[in-house]
Amino acid sequence: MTAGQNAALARPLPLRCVGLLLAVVIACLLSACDGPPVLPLRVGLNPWIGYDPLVLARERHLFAPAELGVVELETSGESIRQLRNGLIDAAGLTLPEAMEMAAAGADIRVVAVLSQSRGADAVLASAGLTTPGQLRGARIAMEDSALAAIMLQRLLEAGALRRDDIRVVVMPATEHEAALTHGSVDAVITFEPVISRLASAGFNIVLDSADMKGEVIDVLVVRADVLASRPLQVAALLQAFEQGRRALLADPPAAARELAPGADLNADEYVRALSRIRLFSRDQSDRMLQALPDSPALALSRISSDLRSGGRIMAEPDWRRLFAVPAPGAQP
Amino acid sequence: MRAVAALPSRTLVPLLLVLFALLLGVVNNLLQVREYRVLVEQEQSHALTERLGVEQATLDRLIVNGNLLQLRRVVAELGLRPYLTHAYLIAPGGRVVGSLARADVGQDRIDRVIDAEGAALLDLPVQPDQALQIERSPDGRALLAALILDSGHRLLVRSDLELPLAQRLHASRLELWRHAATILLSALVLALFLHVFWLRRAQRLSEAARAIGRGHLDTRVNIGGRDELALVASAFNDMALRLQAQHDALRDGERRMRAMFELAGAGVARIDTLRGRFIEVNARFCDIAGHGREDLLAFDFMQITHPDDLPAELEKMDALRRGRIREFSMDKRLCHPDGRTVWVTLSVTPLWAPDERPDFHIAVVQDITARHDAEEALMLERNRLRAAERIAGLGSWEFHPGSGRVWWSAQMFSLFGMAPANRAPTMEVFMACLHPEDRTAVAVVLEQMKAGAQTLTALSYRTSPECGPVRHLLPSAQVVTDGEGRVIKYAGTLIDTTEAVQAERALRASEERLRATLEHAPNVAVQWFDRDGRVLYWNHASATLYGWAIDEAIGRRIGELVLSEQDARAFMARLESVQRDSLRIGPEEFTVRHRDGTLRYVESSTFSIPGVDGDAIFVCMDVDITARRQAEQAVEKERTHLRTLFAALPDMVWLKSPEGRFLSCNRMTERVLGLREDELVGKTDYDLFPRELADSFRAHDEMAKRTGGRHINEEWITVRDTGERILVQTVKLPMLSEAGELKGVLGIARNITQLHEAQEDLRALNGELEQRVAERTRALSDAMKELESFSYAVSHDLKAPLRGIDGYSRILQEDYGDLLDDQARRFLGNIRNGASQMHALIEDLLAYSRMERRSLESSRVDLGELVQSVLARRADELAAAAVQVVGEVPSLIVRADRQGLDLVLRNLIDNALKFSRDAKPPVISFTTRVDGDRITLSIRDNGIGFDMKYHERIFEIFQRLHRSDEFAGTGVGLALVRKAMQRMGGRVWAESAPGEGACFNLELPA
Repeated sequence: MTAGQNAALARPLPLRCVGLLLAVVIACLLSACDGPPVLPLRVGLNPWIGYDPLVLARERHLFAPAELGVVELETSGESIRQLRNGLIDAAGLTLPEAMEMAAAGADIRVVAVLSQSRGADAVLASAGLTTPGQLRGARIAMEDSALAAIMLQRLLEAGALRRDDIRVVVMPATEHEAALTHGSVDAVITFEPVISRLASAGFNIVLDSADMKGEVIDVLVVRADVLASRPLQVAALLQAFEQGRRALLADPPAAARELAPGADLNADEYVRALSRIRLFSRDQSDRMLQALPDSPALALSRISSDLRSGGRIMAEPDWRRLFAVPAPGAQP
Repeated sequence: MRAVAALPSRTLVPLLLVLFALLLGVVNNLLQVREYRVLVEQEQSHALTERLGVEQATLDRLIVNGNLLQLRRVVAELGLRPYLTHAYLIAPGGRVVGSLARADVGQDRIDRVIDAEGAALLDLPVQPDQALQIERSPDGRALLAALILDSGHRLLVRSDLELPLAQRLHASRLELWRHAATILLSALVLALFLHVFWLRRAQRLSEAARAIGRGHLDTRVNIGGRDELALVASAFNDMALRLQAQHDALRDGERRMRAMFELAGAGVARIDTLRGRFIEVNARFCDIAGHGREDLLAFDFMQITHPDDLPAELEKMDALRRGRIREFSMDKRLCHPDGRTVWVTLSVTPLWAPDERPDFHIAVVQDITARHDAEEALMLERNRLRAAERIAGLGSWEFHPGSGRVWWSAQMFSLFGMAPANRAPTMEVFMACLHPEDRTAVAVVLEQMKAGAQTLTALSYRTSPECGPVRHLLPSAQVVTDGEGRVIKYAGTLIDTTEAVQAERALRASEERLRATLEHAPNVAVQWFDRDGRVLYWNHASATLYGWAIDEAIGRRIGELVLSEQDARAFMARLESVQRDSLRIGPEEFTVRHRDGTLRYVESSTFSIPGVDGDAIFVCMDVDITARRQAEQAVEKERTHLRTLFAALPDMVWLKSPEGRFLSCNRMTERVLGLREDELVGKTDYDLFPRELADSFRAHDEMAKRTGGRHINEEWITVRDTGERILVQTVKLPMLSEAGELKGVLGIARNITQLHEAQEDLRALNGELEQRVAERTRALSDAMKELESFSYAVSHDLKAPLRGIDGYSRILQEDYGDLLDDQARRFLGNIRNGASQMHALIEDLLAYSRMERRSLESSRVDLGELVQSVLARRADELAAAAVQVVGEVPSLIVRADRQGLDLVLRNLIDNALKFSRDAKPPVISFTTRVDGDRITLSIRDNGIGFDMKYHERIFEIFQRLHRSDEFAGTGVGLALVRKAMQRMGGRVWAESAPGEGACFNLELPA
């Protein structure tokens, strides 16, 4: 061993200390290079029990609150408003509402088809009014939504009525029951869980969605920028709906016991209401989306035509941009 | 650690600098995080206040309307707020009626549904005078809020703080990196400089110092340069030179000292301090100790010291070794070899420096055996006398008139509070020790003694208060004469009689106090009687109560004064009973007669006390209760009237306790509820009605309690007997005690079924109209929601690109400013001004929008404290503009929303600052005026003022009287002030003239 080597070994401690310190500093700097903290992806839902798989998934802690936030809103109009203004990242909407929103210029994507109404959207009327034709001169309450406008269109067609023959009163679904019960309107265009409560109270179902194939469809809509920047959270959202759907269908009475009180129904009413809805699995949803724009399950042309004739949209939206095909995180 | 301590400073100092820099970086980072945490908390607290303020109005309305489904949705919609994790709306009965999670709704108890994270909400203290309360959670990770609604419902909310903090930190990470890198780089440069220019030269200096330490006193060093280190090197060379010279001088000195040691008159020895062995002794020491030099050098000092003195000496030696004393001296005995005891005075001086380890000391001894024997005999005599005087508390003295010589014993000094001394004090000192009032008398006696009088005037005197507690002293003197009768001396004693004098005084004072208490007791009439019933004593209160003056009453019998003959006989029997059985009778109630013939009610107690001659004295103590008795009679009469009225009322009337239990009711209530009053008392609404209805009744009770006034509502109830459904209008109001304490809730219900039916007909007619109003209202509500949602988007999305414009234009200005020409730089300046103006406009518009929507709380606000708070926050601006603030707002309580009023004051003070900037100096003055239940605060400035024809215009939104390049602003501030004042139930107006300043007046309810 030479003298130079001895000297080098005699001074290793300070060098080691400096080296250690530099390592700590570099480690600290690297640790600060993490990405920004990510907010949970917030999805807004109006009180339609077709969206309840997501509510059930939240109640049963089937997803992490840091990943997803489920917000229950008063009306679908509220969902559209908050989605447009960026307070929520995704929303459960009817297909006509999603189309109307896209036609108005909102950059959104339909990532899943959630459910089909088989009577869970309906027109209910007071005693003595049992057919559409009897509603001439009636006051009809409805939400200011694209789907309600289409339901109204079908009602007028079924009753051979003109728009001037009835009087439309716009109010949120949460007020429909009180309005019909107190007699301030003669009929309501509404949806579950309001239908079950009104039917139990003796009101008549004049028209329902069972015969409107492909029109009364609910979809999951995500803002385009969110889909591009947070695809994993969107995948988690789809996964959460699927898990909630399975839990709901596996034991409907148990799910009803959890969800019904918050919807002002008893468990039996809730199960009956659920039977009027078909909840699509992930595979079914993906197949429908892949078959677009000519999917037989989704009556895009008819809805578009109805919305145009009702003055709710001026031109057809770009279907390729509206539907995310294939859906992110789709199963092979 | 040892390895680090062994490092040379040229390595250690740079290393420590780098470590310090790292530490500084970490501390800086921690402080920044802390600052961000405070900022985030403030922002989130503000946002939460705004949000809940808006929700409060909505929830109150929905609860009153009973729309539960919509109520739930409004609570669930709170989940739109990105950081809000928990929200629960709880009914007065404890039931959860709204939550972010649907399964929670309808649960009877909140603690069954709340998770661990939200459990802290349950511990949030409720303050009755505050509708909204926001606090940080105990773990500091969230804000907890409780909103109390008018109906008694509670909204509990938890808002997370960690996520917004993480976002803020992420946004600021570049700034944090820059700070850390700057600190570290600076430290590295400094370390390198120190190593090259300072520490290497310091090493050479230290090597030279080491050579000097090894004894090479001729070592010198040269490190070059002119800095402090070079000066140290030069001083080092001088020091080495001086050391050499001192070394030689020391050797000469040592030789001289040794000669003095041997020839000294006292015994001197050098002793090993730790072992006590003699190292050196001189000839005189050998003489005193009686040993030869060789013998002593073989001894230690303990061997020649008397055993009784050894412990004291060892103790002092121990103190010396430990450094507690620097030297000591003591008398002690040595054991002489011939058996004698030799008394010596020993002085010990250490030879070690104060901070050094003990090694040797010098002991000097002087023989004092003869002197010591004489002193011991004298001391024995004195001690005997002192002990005798101390035991007797007696001082003794002597005075020789011929020579004027005075002698005092030790106890004499003690009596005058002096320390014992060998000589008696001078006449002046003695006189100063006497009480000023006694000095003349004592001086007379002293003169008699000086003149050699055969008899002296007897006296007693006191010590001066300046010499401590005053003592009472009693002297005595005996005259000693010679054979011819001439006075040779006076010998006497002095006794301390203080305790006896004080005991006598205390007895007299106690008697005086007792008598004064009896005389002047205002409400208690006291009389003393002898066994015949004659008055012996009659105090002032007796004279007032009975109308007989003290002189008139003394000596008369009770029957002549206040009692009838029959009552007087009973009174005498009572006195006999008191004497016979040694009883105390009473207090009992009596009717007595005033001198003017009116009757009075008194409560009287009688007992006996022994008299001077042994006969009993009877004491009567009477309290006048006439007024109380008359008030009781009046209250009873009024109560009877009220009971009759209560029972006969056609309306239902009942009273419930604050907890909701029935306390009483009238007949109509009994009839409707089908229960007697005694069956109803103690029950609650939940015992009588279905839960939903009982919840509603309780909610109305709570509203009445909260508002503190009348609360009116209508309810359908069923008459239990007939089954008839009737509509009642119920008025509820809280019953308060005189102290303002809630005693219960009074309910009055009137059957308004017929009135209601008539109203229903009218309502049916108005139905169509109402429907249209409802639609319009709904449209307006939608527009409001759109505005609110839009406001949120604006505040987040519109401000972000604005920040980008401002940030990039600032980079352009700072980094590329040199490459641009003047025009381009002006354009850039215009862009930045525009962005700043737009940012201010967005902020002001958002504030205006919030002020329109949020519920304002009417609470008690201290106007003076709030003005001071706003001025303190504007202190920097006020100081920069050299503004004089004149007048102080006193502590006046107004009813207002604290945040709203804060906003108003901030805007008006900012306005005054802005428009008086050209005044020399700018002056802002505050005055207040209280006018009944209205309080007016005026804020005056000496700025440019305005023409009063624009008075209304300045309070409108976007209205400005000046161009923005003259005075910056958005035109929203004063509109915001007016909106806030209107919403708080106050008003604002201005008084001004061009060039004469402006005065803004705020009027608020007190």
